[in-house]
Amino acid sequence: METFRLSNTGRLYAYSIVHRSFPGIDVPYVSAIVDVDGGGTLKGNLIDVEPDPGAIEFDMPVEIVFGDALGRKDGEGNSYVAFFFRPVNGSH
Amino acid sequence: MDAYIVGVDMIKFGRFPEKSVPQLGAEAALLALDDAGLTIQDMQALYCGNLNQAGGMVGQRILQQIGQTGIPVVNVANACATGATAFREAWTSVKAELYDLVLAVGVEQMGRGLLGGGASRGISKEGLLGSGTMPSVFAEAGLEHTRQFGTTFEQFAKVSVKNHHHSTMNPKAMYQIETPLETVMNSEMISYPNTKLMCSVNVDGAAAAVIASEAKAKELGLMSRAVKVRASVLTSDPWQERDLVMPDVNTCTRKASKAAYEMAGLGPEDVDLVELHDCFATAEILHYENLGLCDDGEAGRLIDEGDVELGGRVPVNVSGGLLSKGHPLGATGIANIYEVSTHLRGEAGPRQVEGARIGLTHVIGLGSACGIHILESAQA
Repeated sequence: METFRLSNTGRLYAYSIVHRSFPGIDVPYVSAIVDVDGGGTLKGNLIDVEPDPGAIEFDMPVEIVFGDALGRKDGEGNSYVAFFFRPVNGSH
Repeated sequence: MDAYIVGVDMIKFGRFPEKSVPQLGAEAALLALDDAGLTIQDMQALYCGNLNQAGGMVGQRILQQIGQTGIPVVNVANACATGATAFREAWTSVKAELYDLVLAVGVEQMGRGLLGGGASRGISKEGLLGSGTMPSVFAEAGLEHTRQFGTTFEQFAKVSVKNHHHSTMNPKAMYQIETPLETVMNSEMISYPNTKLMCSVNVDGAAAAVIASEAKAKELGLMSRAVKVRASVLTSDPWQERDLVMPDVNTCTRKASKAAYEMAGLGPEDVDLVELHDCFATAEILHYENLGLCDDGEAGRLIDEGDVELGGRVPVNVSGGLLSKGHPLGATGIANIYEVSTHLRGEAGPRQVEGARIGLTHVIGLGSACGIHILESAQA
């Protein structure tokens, strides 16, 4: 096993626009599968895009950004950092 | 030695909170035994499929209801392939000539609401790292098909129109309600492109089958309504690059269908009807191609041109499918065997596929288990 650093960019492979989730989860949001440039596939939320199929294109370039995990904390009050996908400016 | 289904039935699917899982399973077991004209005293083993009480010895508790004869009981859990797996274990025991008369039961009692997501330590990932709900997972699989072949929301929705229409002719389905295209497309959006009417119904249900060796079926005089098991195949998913984040719902079906056609010495062109795993409308489209009912990229045309409707070239899910008959996880794989057997016996009433001689049943447990059976009428 070797450590491998994923790049911070990729392209949208597939998605779903989630309008109903479990109680307490904010909707709508875009659940996205992204093929990372140079290898690897990630699943996460596609943000800063209209939750509308007309606004989302297969293979659209995205960047991987990091932020607080929507304010979620575990049982001990710890905060978490999550990754998100954001369209690369001018791509859509 | 070939193995035959000599008794098979299911309870009407619905919501029965006043009943227990073993009660539901016992009802189906007795229906299947009655169908064969046999009793639990005649059975040499019981293979019981149930998912939500997988640790609960459901098979033994069914026998507490219908007769504790001391036979071996095997309890099986394999996600949505649970029922088909129980049936296959029963079939395997007859093929191995260990027994010549056995019972398979599939049963499930469901809650309501979304399946999937899963438990996690720390914080919930749902809505943070995408969605793990089943409607979303199968929406993503459907849009992978859109990405490849341009399949439209409307084409996915037509699957639901068709299956709900079929279920109006099936008194054992949960629903008997027509849902026109506009109704399907305008119902609550759950996970685009799956609307609420494009998601399978969570119901309680049970189905059972009695399997006999050819010699036993002849000895008992049961060949006239018997159904021959031409192929029984179970696969798991091979490694695939996107596995960790995107369950591959296609490859295990492709492997299973190829193996099943080979075992039966048949091809998809020989199949008169199919009951496939339409857990979501998007999934049915994928499986037309995975089962070889059409070439890759042709699934949208198949639904547009009516090939898969009752009266079409190869009717799919004439029972109403999981979308309208309902999807009690552990029962589904035997309920679809009941449906195909009923057509092969010419006993399906208004929804009968005329002249049906060969039928195929298919279930998948997410991406990781696929069960396929090819069945043939035993009448010459």
